[in-house]
Amino acid sequence: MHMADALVSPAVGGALWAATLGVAAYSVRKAKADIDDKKIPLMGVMAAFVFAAQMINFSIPGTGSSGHLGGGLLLAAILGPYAGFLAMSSVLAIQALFFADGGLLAYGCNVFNLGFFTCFIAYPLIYKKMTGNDSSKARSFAAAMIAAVAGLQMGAFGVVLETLLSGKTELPFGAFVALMQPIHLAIGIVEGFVTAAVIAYVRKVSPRLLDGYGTPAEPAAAPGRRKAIGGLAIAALAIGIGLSWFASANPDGLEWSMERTSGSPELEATGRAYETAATIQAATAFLPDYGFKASGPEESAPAWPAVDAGTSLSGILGGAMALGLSALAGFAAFRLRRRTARRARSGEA
Amino acid sequence: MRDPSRTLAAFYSIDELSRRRSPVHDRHPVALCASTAGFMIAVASFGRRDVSAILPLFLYPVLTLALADLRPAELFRRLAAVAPAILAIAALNPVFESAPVRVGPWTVAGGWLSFVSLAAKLTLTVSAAFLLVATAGMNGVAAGLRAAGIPKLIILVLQTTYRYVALLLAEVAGMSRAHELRSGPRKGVGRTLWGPMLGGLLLRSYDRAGRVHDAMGLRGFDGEFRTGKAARFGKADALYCSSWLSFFALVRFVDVTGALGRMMEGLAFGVVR
Repeated sequence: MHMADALVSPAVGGALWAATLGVAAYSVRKAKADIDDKKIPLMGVMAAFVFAAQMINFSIPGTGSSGHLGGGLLLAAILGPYAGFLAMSSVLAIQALFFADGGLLAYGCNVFNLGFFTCFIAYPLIYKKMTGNDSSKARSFAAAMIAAVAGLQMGAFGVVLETLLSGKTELPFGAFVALMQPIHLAIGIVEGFVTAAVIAYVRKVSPRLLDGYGTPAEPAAAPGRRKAIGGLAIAALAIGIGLSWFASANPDGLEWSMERTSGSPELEATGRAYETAATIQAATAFLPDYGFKASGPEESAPAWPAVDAGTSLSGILGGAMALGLSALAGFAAFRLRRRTARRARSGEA
Repeated sequence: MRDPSRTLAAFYSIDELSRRRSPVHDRHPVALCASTAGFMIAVASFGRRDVSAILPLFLYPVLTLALADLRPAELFRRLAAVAPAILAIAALNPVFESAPVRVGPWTVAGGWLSFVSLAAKLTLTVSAAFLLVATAGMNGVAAGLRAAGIPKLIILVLQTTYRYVALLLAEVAGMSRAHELRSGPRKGVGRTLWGPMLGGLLLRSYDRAGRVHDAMGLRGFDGEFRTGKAARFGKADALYCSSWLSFFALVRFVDVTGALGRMMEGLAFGVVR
């Protein structure tokens, strides 16, 4: 579900970077209140744990496919939402820097999609509310499941909105949502099962590790809300079981959705959401001349639009020359470096 | 999903690259981070159908690769890992944007322009991220983040994560291999082992964090990772950074490609006459 830089516009990337920095600064302030200096290595080691644990494939019974841990919810359960968010941000930074899993400009988008929704919405508003202090094993299991599914659904919708607002592709909103949400529902259920299994194990073996475990219980949810949450759980499970075949052998839901969409040429590129998104982007853009898939004048342009400078013969010649000059400069620098290194070696000898 | 042993090898390889010496490696990390940030913004700010205008920006990765003495194969491996997902998205463009456009003497669907544009942007941005981490290293990135005013706690957590990723990856690689050897033809970890396998690793990691904290305290850790590298922002760093930023601005705001093309056309016509 990691977004790449090529899909993000500076406006969207910058806005999400700013939002992430704001949430991170708030988390630092809140985490410092209950942080002892022991928690710093703990946050780092737990983040490294999540990164490494994502390498373990879990086979999903009855589907022949496999899934892996996402980690946001587990980090929030072990470290609390604030330190958990900071640790998740750290995991995503290592992934972006060392493995190109998510871009640098898109880093804010990825932290928001994978860290914010799980640590600040799914964990406190679903998991904590449902489990309380001394909940049963089944309840804790259901809470982890629903929180993981909800967190991933919000994250997947975040990907759709950010891609749409960036306007770097022609993906139609409806088709993208219709494919992203179900596949991430299935992935969320796997994530929920894995997270619940780990939390259950830790609760049994070392309960003091879990955030808030053993502290006074929060007020119980109102019966109406409890019913609603129960209904949501049943609905999520029913839909999830029905759609679990979506998980297939493909490890990444974003990738899967993109491929599915590319095979559906009959889908329409126009829509109200697209127009609204275009208006928002036009209002928020701070750098000129980056496009958005407008469904207005640009769409109704004549079949043979005027050739702009970028696609004219001089544009092609200029582009080829720019690439040629780059290659030449690179080759010259390479030769120069080698010659300097050889001279240095012969000087040493 | 990645193989933990290969991930570990890739991790060590990039870490090793960042320890080299070269005219790029020797630059102040803040100069490298600022150049990368400027480059990223310049690339992302080009329009959906811009192709030829972006091409001069290839000078940055090509020249940096050569000056830093890095092998293009390292970069291509990284590109190959992420390209399929993005190219799958880009492949949609000719489908949804089928109105024909003239490209020099040819006529193609407009979507092909955005396809090529997205592929070029992907290559450029992935290259820039690789070049940053392969020249500045994690400590350099941390210095850049510090200069940008990111809170110290966040940077500390990032640096601690970086230091323990390799250790825990090695542990996971060992666990996975042990499980694989004992589980016969079955792929993936079965449901009954989800909790014990990950939970066990988590508890061991937690205990390790305690030992790490004690060890760091005994060695006088005061919340600062000291790398021993001189960190003075010199004239060469300022020149490196400002040259690249000026170049990016030039490419972004002036039609460099068009000028080069007109020059070539002029030369060609001159020869014909």
